Amino acid sequence: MSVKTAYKALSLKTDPIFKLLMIMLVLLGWLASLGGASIISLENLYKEWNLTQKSRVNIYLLAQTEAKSIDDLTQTLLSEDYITGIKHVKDEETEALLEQFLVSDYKLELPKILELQTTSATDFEKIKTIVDKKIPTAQVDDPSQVLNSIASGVRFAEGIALIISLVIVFVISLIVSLTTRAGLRAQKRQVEILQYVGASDSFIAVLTVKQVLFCSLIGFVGSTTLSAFSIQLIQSQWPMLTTFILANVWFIAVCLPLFICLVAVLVSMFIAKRVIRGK
Amino acid sequence: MIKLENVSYRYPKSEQKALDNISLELEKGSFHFLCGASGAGKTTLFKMLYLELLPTTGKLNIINNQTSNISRKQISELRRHMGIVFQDFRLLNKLTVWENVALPLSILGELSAQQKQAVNDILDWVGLKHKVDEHPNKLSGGEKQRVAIARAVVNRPKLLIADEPTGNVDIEMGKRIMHLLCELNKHGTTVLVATHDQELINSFNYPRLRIEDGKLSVNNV
Repeated sequence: MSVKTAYKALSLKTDPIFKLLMIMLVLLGWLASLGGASIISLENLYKEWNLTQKSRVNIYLLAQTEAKSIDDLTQTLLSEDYITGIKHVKDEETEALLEQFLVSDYKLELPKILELQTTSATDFEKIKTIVDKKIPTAQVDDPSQVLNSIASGVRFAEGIALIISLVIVFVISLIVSLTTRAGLRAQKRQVEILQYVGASDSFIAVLTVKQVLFCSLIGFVGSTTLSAFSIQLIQSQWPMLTTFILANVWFIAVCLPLFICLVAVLVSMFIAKRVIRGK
Repeated sequence: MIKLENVSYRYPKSEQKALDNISLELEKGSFHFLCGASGAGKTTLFKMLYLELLPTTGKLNIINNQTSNISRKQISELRRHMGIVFQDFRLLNKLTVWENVALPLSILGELSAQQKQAVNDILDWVGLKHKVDEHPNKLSGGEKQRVAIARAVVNRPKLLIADEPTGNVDIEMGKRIMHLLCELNKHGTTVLVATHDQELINSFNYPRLRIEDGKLSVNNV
């Protein structure tokens, strides 16, 4: 007895429009959750790739480069703080790398490759200057241009995802707003009776918000479950992606439907008060 | 209890006044009939008394509350001290008879054992104790009206406004309902009953307010 009776009086629970809202919240929540998880996975992949690229610099030397010059270059480069190690790539590895470009019966003298392990403070210009000075015929593999263009691509994808997220939030606000209006208008007589017996606007609004909250929670549970299944399916189909599906991906997959839940409740609270006041 | 001073009301987009310069004072514990033909302004006056409408001009005072600048929250609080009985009952079919009667108490919070007993007592008083679990759509017109009265008085209102409470019931039931209202009045509730049933009005010696074309006249018996 008490608020339960008033809630029953308003009979929003059986209103089909709120059942429709529940389905919409599950689907949109799922879409948002999966979209958010994809973007975070992409960010993880990008960070991983970026780190690998930034921490490795290759120097290509002609085949006939003297060993003494190579040693000299190695020593000079190792004196730089951001270079943590230099690996002399073996001929077999170089051959394996170039295999696809070589004609089988043609014996090419293999170039020498130095692989530099660096920190995030890598100064490409300084490396280039040292290499130019020591062995002018050498080529430094500078990934900065590729890094910049990939970074722009990732940021662009994230920007698009943000816009889509805002559109989803807008669509959810609209759906909740229309549902709340339609639900309360269909219960106009019940609302009036509650008002005649002394129920305040806030009291009736809370009854409505309670119903939207119920739909949102079902939407949250439904969309999160669907997302979890989807992510598991993706992991089983493409195991290489597992590396990038970290805790932050799961966090976003759960948080976005929860955020949608919050938006739905706030919108319904605002709209319910307006409708009850006859606006 | 109720004080109207030169109150007028004009509906939006209407040229005629629905209420025209009405002045009236009803004392605490009084009983009045309000009579008049259809469209004379009875319903408008009633709507004003339960604060669904506010005067276009003039002053309205209900249960010691001036209604100029009254907020919606204050209106709902004021309605908790009023009982309203409508001609069309306005019961909720989703709720049982017991829940309908308990509704004014339910909105205030969890019902105490004392309040639950009060609901049972009121249902006993209106002779519907055996129908507590029924839904209103299964009741006769007279029973619905008694449920409506029980709901209106369950929180012991200071003011009871009844709009044609006998309009949808037979003569016998009409008299029974009127006796319930008289009994309530004896316990100190101010009662205002709108009716156009002249025979019913003549059966009781209470003052009559007559409304015609939005103007009010008082007939003391």
